[in-house]
Amino acid sequence: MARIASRAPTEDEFVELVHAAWPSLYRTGLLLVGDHALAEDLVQAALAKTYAHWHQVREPAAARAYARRIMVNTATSWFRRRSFGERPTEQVPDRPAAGARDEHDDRLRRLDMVAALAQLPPRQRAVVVLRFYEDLSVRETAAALGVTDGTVKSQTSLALERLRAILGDEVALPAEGPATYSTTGGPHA
Amino acid sequence: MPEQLTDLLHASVDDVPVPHPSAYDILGRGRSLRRRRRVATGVVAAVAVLAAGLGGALVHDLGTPDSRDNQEIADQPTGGAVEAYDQSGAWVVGDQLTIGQKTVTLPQPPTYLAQTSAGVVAQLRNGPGDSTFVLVRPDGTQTTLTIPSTTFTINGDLSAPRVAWVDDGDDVLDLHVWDVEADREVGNGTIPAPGTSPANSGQFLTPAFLDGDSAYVGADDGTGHRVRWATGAVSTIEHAPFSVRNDVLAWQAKDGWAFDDAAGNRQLGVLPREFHNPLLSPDGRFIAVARTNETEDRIGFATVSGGEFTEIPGLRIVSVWTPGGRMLSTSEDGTAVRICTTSGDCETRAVDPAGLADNGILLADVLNVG
Repeated sequence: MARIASRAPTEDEFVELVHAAWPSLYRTGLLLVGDHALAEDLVQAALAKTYAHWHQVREPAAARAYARRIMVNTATSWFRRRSFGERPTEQVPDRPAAGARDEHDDRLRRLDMVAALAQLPPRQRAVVVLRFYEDLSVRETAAALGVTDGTVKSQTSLALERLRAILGDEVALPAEGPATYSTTGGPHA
Repeated sequence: MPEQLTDLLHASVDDVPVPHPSAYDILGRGRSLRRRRRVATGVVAAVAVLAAGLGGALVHDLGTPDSRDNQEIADQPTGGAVEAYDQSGAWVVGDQLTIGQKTVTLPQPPTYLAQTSAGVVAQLRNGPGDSTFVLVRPDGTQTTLTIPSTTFTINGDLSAPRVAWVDDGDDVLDLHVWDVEADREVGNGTIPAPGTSPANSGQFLTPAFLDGDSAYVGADDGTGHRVRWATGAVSTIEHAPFSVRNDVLAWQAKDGWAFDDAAGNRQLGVLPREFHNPLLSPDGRFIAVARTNETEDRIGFATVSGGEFTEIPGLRIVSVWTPGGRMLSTSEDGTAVRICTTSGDCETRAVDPAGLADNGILLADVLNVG
């Protein structure tokens, strides 16, 4: 059982969090926004907001998950306020191969998933990143996005269907159960 | 292969070069957010004032006050409550509010003070979503204002008797401008803000920077809006404001800070990213700013036009401007108020030690968040 600290963490502990969480948050951010500069700005914004609440943190070990949630919410806010719509392309761009061990791996490694994700609507993109990159459960993803479990399932199903169309049969994507469409998904559904 | 998508995602980004984070940049950005964050439910301001909003914990070893310490400010006025307020500003220890040379007792300790040209507006928090706002004039007289009690917090205009705030609406921000002498709303505006909802209010304050006949409000995407509050006319500005005074707008650029004329027609100056929290003086000529190296923040002034940084030793990072253009801060140990001119001459004002034990010093225009 986690022990709850009796004091707020220090600023030195926040700096430690920044250095420890930055690489993984940056990569997640890159998948979410599809641009290095935007990803850097996104992570900075998320960590700054985390700092704004730092005095309320009583368990520094949970702070990284808290920062990730803030980052997803910030990205969601950006999606609403900026032109982050999907970017249709004729085909998925390749990226340079890096140490592929065989032809199949080489093909997979050359698939630019960042570009593929960019073709998804923002909500579907966030669901894919959280579930299949961050390895969150449906419930954890729903909590992170502020939507219902059913919305996560339906968005996952739609996202996978679209990714199949984008990536082709060469890539086996996970099967998703029957979509459950929420009729009361709230403002974020 | 159910995990193949996971593998693909990891293969796409796990080997990308990751830029090195600047923890101090993030801290600076976080401090500015924290400074303006709405006072949360159940805030106990008393425990916060010594650490005060901007993160004084990073201030180390600023050095001992120099020989100018405790000198009388050369042009300190000897008379006139208004002049004394202009030059000394306002602060509070517990329920004892000092404005200029006058100290008065408030009904309860305030959680926030907003300076205006007519005096300081004290926010008295009665409970969640319930505040009373009291105007304390330089002569010490008090008037309870009819600003809606649900208003989270306000921003004052150092050069006019007005305060402003924004409420979250459905995809909009509602700006309100209040004349504290007439005690009535004198202007408003509706600012487009897609994604905003009253249901999500209470997280972060969107500050409204009042400057004459305009109010400036930033947007999450880094742009902003200028509202001519008398007419409600809203126009988009290129950069989200960090501070606005006398038609000069400070904004955070990618590699530091930039200072433009508020119309956005020309740049007046820049500061590199080692500087933080640049607050414009009432006349828009100077910046009170923290300069950071690897281990510490140094507090001082710079000119908007790019002049040399002048460090003021012995100040905490929480520093604001008085209406007359002096820097109002506290001593390094947080037990006294220090007021400094832009030439670096400082005056130290003692506060009641008994009040300090329980409350600490809350400077005007500093929002403590507990």
